[in-house]
Amino acid sequence: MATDDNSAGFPATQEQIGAELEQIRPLLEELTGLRSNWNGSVVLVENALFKGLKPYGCDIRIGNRFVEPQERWTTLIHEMLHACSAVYNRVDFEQNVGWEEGVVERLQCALRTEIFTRLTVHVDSGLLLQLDTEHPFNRYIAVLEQVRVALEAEDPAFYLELLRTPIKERYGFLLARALQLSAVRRAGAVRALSSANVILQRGRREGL
Amino acid sequence: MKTQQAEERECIIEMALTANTMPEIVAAEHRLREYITAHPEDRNIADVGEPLALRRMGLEEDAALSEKAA
Repeated sequence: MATDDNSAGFPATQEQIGAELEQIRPLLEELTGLRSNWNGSVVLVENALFKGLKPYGCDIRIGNRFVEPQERWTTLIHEMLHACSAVYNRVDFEQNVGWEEGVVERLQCALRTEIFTRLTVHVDSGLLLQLDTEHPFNRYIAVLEQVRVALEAEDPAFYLELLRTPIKERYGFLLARALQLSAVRRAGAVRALSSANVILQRGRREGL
Repeated sequence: MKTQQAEERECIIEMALTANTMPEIVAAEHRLREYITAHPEDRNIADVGEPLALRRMGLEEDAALSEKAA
């Protein structure tokens, strides 16, 4: 059962965050059908400009300014999803930032309720709404959703399939699906996918 | 969120997500740090720090390898 230090008012320790990640890992592995590459190592980084960081190796890093009890759960789930992501490496990530960050963040939103329930964690719904509404990766999620709708794919199955697909192959994987659609739907799906890819590759915002 | 702050926020996110060279990364980090200091209630923006930090780590690794090869 998860513990929450909110009542104590103290920031979380590295050990506590590690214990929380240990609880999240088997749940995400079950929900995604993927194995995490996390090696159990957590580093709290002083004065980091990030909430969480999943290097291409096997550790997870958390910014020590962003370990408030309520908001760190979404960060931990996000980072553990990166640890489960198929073929997560530097070259593929840098060329396809949105294909990874958009998928992972969307899945964080989709899977967290189940995780919170099973760990008996409570996170204020107003806070979650604020985090979701203002998330910097919403530009990626928006175009991914356009593609999902054009492909008439289910949520979160669409995103789980993408997480199971190597990052650099996600565009091709969806293009193959689009080409299997009827002629009427195919053109719209291919257009949505092409437009989305401009945003999802290299992080640029042109086209919005 | 006030319009000016929203515009600043959007600009920083754009900088962070598209930073490619080390000068671009340093500039984005500077703006991000300033914004977080000025707007501690908007810590959510720090989510954009992840791809920025990963890009920095990649360039530092390249620099280290170049130095070793030299």
